[in-house]
Amino acid sequence: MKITTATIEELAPNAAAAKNGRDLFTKKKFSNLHLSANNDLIWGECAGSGSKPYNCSADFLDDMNPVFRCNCPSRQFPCKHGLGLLYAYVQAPDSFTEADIPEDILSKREKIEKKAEKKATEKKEQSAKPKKINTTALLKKIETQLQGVEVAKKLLNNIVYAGLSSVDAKSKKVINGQIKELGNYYIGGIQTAFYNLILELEDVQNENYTHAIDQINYIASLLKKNTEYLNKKKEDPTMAPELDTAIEEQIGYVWKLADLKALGQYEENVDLLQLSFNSYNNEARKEFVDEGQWINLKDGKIYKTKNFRPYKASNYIKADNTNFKKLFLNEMHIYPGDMNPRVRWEGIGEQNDVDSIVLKTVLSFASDNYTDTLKVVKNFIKNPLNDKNPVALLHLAKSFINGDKLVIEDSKGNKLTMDDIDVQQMPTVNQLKNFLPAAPQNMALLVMFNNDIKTGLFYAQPLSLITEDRIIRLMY
Amino acid sequence: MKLQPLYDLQEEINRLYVAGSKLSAGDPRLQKQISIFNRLGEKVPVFSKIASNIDELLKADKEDSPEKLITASTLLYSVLYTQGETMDENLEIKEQIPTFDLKDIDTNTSYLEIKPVIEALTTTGSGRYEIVVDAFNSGLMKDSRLYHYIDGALGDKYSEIVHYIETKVIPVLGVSILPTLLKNFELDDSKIQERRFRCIRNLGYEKLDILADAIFKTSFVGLQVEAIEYLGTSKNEDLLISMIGEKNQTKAKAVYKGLAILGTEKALNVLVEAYLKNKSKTKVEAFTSALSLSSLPILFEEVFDKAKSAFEKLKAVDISNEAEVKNADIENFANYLDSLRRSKRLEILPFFVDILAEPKVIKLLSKKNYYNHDAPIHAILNAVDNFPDDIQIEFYTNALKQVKDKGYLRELWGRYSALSIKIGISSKDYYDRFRDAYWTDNFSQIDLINSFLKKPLGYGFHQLNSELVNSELIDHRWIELFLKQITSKWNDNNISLIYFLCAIDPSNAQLIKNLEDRIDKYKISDPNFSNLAVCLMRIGTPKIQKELNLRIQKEIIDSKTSYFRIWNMWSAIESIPKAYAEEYSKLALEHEGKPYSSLLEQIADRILSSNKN
Repeated sequence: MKITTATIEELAPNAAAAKNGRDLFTKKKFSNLHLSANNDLIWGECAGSGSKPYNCSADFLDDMNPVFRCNCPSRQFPCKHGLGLLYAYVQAPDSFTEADIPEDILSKREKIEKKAEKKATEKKEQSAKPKKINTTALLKKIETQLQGVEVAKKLLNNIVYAGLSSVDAKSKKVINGQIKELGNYYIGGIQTAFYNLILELEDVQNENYTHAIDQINYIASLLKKNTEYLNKKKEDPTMAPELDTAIEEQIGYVWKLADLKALGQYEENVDLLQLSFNSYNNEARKEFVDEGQWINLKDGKIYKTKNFRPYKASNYIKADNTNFKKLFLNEMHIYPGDMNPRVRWEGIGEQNDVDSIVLKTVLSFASDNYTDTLKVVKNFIKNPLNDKNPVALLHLAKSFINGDKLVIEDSKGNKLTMDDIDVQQMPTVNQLKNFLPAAPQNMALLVMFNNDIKTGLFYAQPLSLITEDRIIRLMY
Repeated sequence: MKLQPLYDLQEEINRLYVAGSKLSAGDPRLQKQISIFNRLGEKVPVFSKIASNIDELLKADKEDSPEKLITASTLLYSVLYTQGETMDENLEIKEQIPTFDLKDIDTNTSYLEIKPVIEALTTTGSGRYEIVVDAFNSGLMKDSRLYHYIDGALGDKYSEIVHYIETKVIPVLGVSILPTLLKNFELDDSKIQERRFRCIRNLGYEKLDILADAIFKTSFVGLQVEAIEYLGTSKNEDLLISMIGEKNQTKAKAVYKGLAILGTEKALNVLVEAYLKNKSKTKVEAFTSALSLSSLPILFEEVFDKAKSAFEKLKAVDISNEAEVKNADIENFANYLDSLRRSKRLEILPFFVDILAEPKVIKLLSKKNYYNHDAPIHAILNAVDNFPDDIQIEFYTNALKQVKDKGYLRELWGRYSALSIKIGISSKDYYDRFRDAYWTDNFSQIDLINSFLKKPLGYGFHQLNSELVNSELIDHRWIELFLKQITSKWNDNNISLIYFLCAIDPSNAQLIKNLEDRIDKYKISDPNFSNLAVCLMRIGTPKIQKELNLRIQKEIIDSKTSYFRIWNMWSAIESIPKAYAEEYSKLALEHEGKPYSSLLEQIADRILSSNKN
């Protein structure tokens, strides 16, 4: 059982829970602390507001998937008592005495074991037989989706016809009501796109409607693509999903790992390294998004992880965190489409320290020809349905200041301006200016691109600086 | 690559989106674009497509116009995304000069550790100050990713956070945060910009002259005040002197302050000359507060004369004459005295004693209902504080013989006590020196108790425990004196004394007996009961603790007391020994269903969770 402060923060559902757990330990709320002979379970009592203390335990029988148990009424998982118990173990291991594992925990362990066995058998059986499709239900759903797309088209046309300046508080209320109705047609992605349009309209400053119009173009393209795609699917319900675009997800489909695996969207034995992490607020979807940027150490491809935490449940859904380790995954599932595809995996993977060999590998994947990279990026973002802010790793040969903006240069003399992107909600360029040398040696910069089509400046926001001996994170 | 016609067309398309596609038919400005794009289309076909899209839009009827506008804009925007320059041309190119070494950067703190600090710096609500202080003390604030938020917190609504960031955090971060402060500095009439400028100034930004020049061209008084003060530190003598006639009060005050900080002979001459010539009562404070920053190496006599003359004028006032009282410049008297604050000249000390011993001026202060009766003595004592300890002791010994006013005496004895402790007086000498003053009430009880503590508690004496007391300073005769006081001279103010006695001599049988007898005289609802109960729960015999608990339980059950009726009892409840918690839980069970049973349960919880017992 290897527990460190970093492990605890990793396990905490959010920063507040970690802090509350730490406070319980510092306020000496724990008593009767014990440790199993195998060193894989700790348990104890924690004084709460009631007359009886809470019984809490942390079970590391499976090191990768620790189990927390507590009889407190909290819906957070692990609760602050479980986290506090871990802090107690890290900071005062001598206060834990060896004891026999309590009966109730032994029986719970047994149940988990049986459950895991059952799940493994089911998984085996599922993969053996092909997934059955209920054609009637699917056709009914497609029909409803097509109806929804028609409703959405009318809504969009009405907005464009009347003009964006006519969208005032009163009409916004009506439009919001119509957007809400789109939720009845299994087209959640389209509904979110409309909410984003409303937010863009609320954000308009100095009569600059570019972002709002860009969003209209996105919605229109999405509706067009959806109509074609759904009609095709209506003709052939068994048709395989489109894998070179993210259309399924954009309609509102939530991929299951098993589906991705069945479609061949996975990779085995992957070494991954997180290069950057950010958590931002998506108002349209009313959720927090934890987004990690990862590099595949085999081929240098940049992936992203996304963890969505709706406002209402944000206290109970574990937030993702910065990961400083190199990760080995037996299986990584890849979402369709995108220049930096979204990936997911089960468990926490095998974690190892990052050494200079790993960093040299990362540096070797950095592009030293910005023109070529920009060509790929521009080609990708010209599709209205694609992510407008792809991420890439760039080699650094030089840096200088143009006006008041930082500019980086590759060894061929291609230049790229650095600036902050609003949507990231965290400025980083000034930080980089503070320490980036004028002539960087063996360094690469992970950047997120943005083409400001109003001003015509194609720039990038720096996310992390990678050197031969470490990663300097400008975000998290 | 940036093809300008595309951006021009975008302007027109955006205009139609704003006005509505219903107005697109035959739009003349769009019409002009068709030929431009047809020409471009001869080489690149996509431009011909754009031209034909515009043409279709112009010809479309109102009903089809939204679709046509969207088609035209989707293609246009797609092409625009393939455009864009990666660098603005024609700008001045400068060298990138990092402000600190790469090896000093540490970003090994995770998101979940940083997030609470960012929230504390950017949101509102309670508990944020503690998080900020913790983060600073643990070194987390040095993480450059927090600079943007630290800078933003200069505009926080909670003044304690702003003050902490400005005076503690930013000075420690030093020049490394300067680029962030400079990036966000704007010429604006707001507090955040004033603070930002102050931080930039205090960090020694080398191009502050340019910023100051820009500020003087605006009409933002707050920023100008900060810039004027900068002139003092930047030795900008001529510019500062030229501003001596400033009419705006706030700016004038900054000019005087700047001259005093500058401290050159020429600057002080100009400042004192203006002060001596000043006839406006309202400007006196601005002058004297500036002079109080200077040790007055020159022109001391002139400034001193002004204070002496103010005193003589007050002495000459006929108190029975209402008009004379009304015209007396009593409000500025403390200011005249304050101008001598840093002079450290021995001749001011007898003058101060004369003032403190002069009954007429004290009477005048009260006669005129002057709102700050203590201001003159505070100005005097602030000036005295700047002298060496031995001279201060001599001053207090002298003054205490002559001063008669009770309020002044209490202030002087309090300061004298603190000074005596500072220079290491023995417990025996301390008792001998201060006993009579205390017994005659010229030395306040609060000041005396606080002087025995390692950290003053103000009025929060219920927190007192033996660890907070500096026991080496307490002569045993004090305990006898205090016991005599609570026996023979009891009043409600003695509660703090009782808490103190409980902390320094918890096993004193006479004290315990006194408290046990006294508590019986109070009803439970009386605040004195609660205070005495807290003390007895700490030092009383098990028997009295049991009796007190029975009294509390009986009160709740007999009178069916609700939560609100025992609100002033919580301190006492939290002091009840933990062993009694079970009694309350049992009682709660016995009376289950009664309205007060949950109160009994709460009391049991409170006893268990309290750290006061």
